Amino acid sequence: MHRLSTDLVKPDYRITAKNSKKVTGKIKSFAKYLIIIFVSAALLFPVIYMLSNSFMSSREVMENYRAISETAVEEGEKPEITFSLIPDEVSFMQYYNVLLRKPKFLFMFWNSVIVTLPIMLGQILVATMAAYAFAKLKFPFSDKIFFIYIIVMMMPFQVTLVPNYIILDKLNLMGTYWSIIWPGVFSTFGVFLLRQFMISIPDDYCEAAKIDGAGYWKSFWTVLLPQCKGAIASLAILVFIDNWNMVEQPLIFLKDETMHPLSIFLSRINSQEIGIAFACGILYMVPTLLIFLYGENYLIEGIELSGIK
Amino acid sequence: MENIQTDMQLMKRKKVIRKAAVIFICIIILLTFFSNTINNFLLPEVEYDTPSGGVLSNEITAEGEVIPVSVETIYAYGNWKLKSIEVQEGQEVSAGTTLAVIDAQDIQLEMRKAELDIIKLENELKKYKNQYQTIDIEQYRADCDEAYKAVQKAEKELKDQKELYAIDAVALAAVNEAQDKLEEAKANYEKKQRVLKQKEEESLKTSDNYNLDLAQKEAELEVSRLELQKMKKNVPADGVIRATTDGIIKSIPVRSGAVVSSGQVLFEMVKKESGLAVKWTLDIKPAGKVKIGDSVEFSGEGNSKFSFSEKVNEKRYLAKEERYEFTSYINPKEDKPEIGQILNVSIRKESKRYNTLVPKSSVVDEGGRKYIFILKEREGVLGKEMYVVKQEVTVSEEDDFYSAISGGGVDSDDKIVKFSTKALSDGLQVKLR
Repeated sequence: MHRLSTDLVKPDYRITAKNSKKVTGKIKSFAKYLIIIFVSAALLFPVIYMLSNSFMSSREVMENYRAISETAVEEGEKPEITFSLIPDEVSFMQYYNVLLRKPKFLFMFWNSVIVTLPIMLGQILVATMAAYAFAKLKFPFSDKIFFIYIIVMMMPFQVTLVPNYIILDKLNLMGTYWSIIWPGVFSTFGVFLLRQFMISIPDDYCEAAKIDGAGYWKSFWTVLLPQCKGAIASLAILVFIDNWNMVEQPLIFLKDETMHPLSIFLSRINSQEIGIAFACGILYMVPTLLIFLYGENYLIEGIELSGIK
Repeated sequence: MENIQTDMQLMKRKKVIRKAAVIFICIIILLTFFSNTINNFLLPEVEYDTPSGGVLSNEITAEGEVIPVSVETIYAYGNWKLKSIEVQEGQEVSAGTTLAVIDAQDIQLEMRKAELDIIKLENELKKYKNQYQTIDIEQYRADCDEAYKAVQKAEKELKDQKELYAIDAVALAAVNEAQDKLEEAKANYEKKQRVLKQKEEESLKTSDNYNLDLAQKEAELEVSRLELQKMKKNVPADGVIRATTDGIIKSIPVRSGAVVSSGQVLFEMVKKESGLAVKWTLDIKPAGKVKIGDSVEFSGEGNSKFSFSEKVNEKRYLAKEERYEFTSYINPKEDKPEIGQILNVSIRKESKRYNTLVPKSSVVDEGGRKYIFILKEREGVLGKEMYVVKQEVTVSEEDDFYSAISGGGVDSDDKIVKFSTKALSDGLQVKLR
């Protein structure tokens, strides 16, 4: 007679534990992806919404969003807004009106470019040299000066507004593009960002260059700068994004409305010319998007380095 | 290996983004330089005018013919052969002038025929009267009375026999016999009555028919006599047709040698002092604006250009042509137009005063409703621009150039679009020409 071994009847707890770990892992993974998808959708939704509404006809936009226009607010209308993701009728009229029927939009676009590009290039130039000095050169009170830099960087714009205004007025720069460009060029953020990166570069490179007879400028230009390409690119992107969206400085320092950049007019377009607001937003977003896509990897690097934004 | 592939993908992506950025910048640069040109090219160009007060004047023009007011027509009064026509159209004649000569034998023959017809009718009438006999109703009435008396007698006889029978004076047979006689008498009486009624009806009918026929015959006779009288009056015994009055021969619709029938028009004459009139026609719509008494201006060319004013005297509707015919009696002091001359007719109608007159071209008709476009300016975020606002209005009246409008809240300062190079819609941006 064949007897069954009692060992075979006993359950194998090791296998069960392994299985349950797998299942738990899958559930966790699923939950993680779900949260990521949800958050991504929430963050992307405004952009997708704006993009789809930019293909609505002006009439449809006016019907849906008239309540937030200036005339409706003045007339005391109740804000009944119809949110519509899919246009009733796909139309390129908004882009047609903005690009071909509103020349002033394009002029203000170039105002933004006139303000942003010099700041970006100037800041790169100034910040790289300042960061080199803070990172690689030993001079008295360098730490303390750098500490002041950090404090100034932390201060909100409103705190430095009045001193800025007084200085610019004394220099007779009020009402000119220089009133925005100069303060932008000498921003402390770039110095901080690049200094942090340059510290990570071993000093041996500079010493080796020194031994070979290179001076400060040559060390900076031929040794350090090529290694900082990534950081410089990320600085450029961050500076561009920051200054492309600048509102307060042009509003205060530029009296002439024809000099105002697009960032200021966009808010007025939203209230006065709502029929083209979405197309204006998309066109306003395009340069930033292109720059971001081009230097995406550098930007992530830069954010990691800055640890602030 | 994987890193190399990732780097390559990254390079490719950067290339695409670079190209996209360059294209975007180029488009923006291009549009910036040419945006005004493009904008100007695309926008409709408009011209405007401001509303004004005033009156509307409509000028209705037509062509009219000069006609004589009174026309005398000479007819043929029989089947005649025209031997000759002695006058021409447009010729001035005096009373008694020979117009035409007809065959005198024809005239005499016609007259004799007419006289013979009258005689025939008279004879017929006499015969008819003689033939007529009335029915002697009295005879039938007398018969009826006789029959009634016989009935009464038979009734009395019956009554007597019944009394006698009652006292057994007579046999039953006598009573029955009296009864039979009475019934016979009654039957006879009823028969007589029927005959009388029949004869009375017959007499009435015959009398009516006779009277009607008599009246007809008498009327026919009368007409023939009158025709003969008229013929004798109008037909020249000598075969010469003469003018009855001074005047001008307007038209001769017959020709020499023709055979004309009774009633046919031989001559149309205009009496010398009858005066002139101008007749013209208008379509229903403009005719509605012209009333009797309105002032009319006539102009034409005779020896020199002339013009004069008169009033509308007559207005009548021509159903066949679906138009209105107007007549004005004219009496120009100088440069009298000739009969048949075509004159230019002009009637100017002025309306009441209106406060808001706009160019007629500024009023747009859409689905039976009238609209105008008011030019406005707005200062937007993206600059100053001109645009149009569509406004519904009511057109009270209009002439060839202006329209009187009301409603829509139109002020005298408003700029009304009177011309546009493209179709306009409410809120459309425009530019001034």
